[in-house]
Amino acid sequence: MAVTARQVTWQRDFDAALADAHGTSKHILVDFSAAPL
Amino acid sequence: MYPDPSIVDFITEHFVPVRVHVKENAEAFKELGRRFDAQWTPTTLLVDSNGQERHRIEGFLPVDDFLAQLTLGLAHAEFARGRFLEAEALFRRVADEHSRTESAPEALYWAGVARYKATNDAGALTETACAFSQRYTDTSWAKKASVWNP
Repeated sequence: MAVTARQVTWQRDFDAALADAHGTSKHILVDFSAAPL
Repeated sequence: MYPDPSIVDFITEHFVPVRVHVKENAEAFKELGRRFDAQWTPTTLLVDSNGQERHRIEGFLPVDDFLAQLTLGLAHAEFARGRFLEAEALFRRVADEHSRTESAPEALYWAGVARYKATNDAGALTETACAFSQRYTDTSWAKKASVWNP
């Protein structure tokens, strides 16, 4: 059986992420990247 | 990509992650890059839920160093919220669990400050200065803590 590597589920919209984090204990991690997708 | 499972788990547990790719999200990269003054990749920002930047990591780091920096960022964010005991616990976690990274002496310094802010006990600073006489003696953090020597 193939094992799928865990991956981060990235959002693309910073303001949506800000809204998601509001009222939770989470912070936003913004990754400015040039790495191959 | 963050191929290491420990990094994936840490990010998933503590953050809402946003990726802004220089080519794939060029407009967002330009707008957010200007907003946060990000001029290089990789640049990783820890931003609180009010939109305030609390920590910045520029350039690539190996797994242990990166985890240490992420934890250090969480600690600084707690400190900024005035949650000094929570901040101290996170700073000590960096110093203890990532003791070989460059984040460790910074964390040891701020753990002492957080303890002092939480308790108003200057002994926390003296103990920190004593700790720096044993560890990380050649770092700038040891120099900064030296003023707390009795």
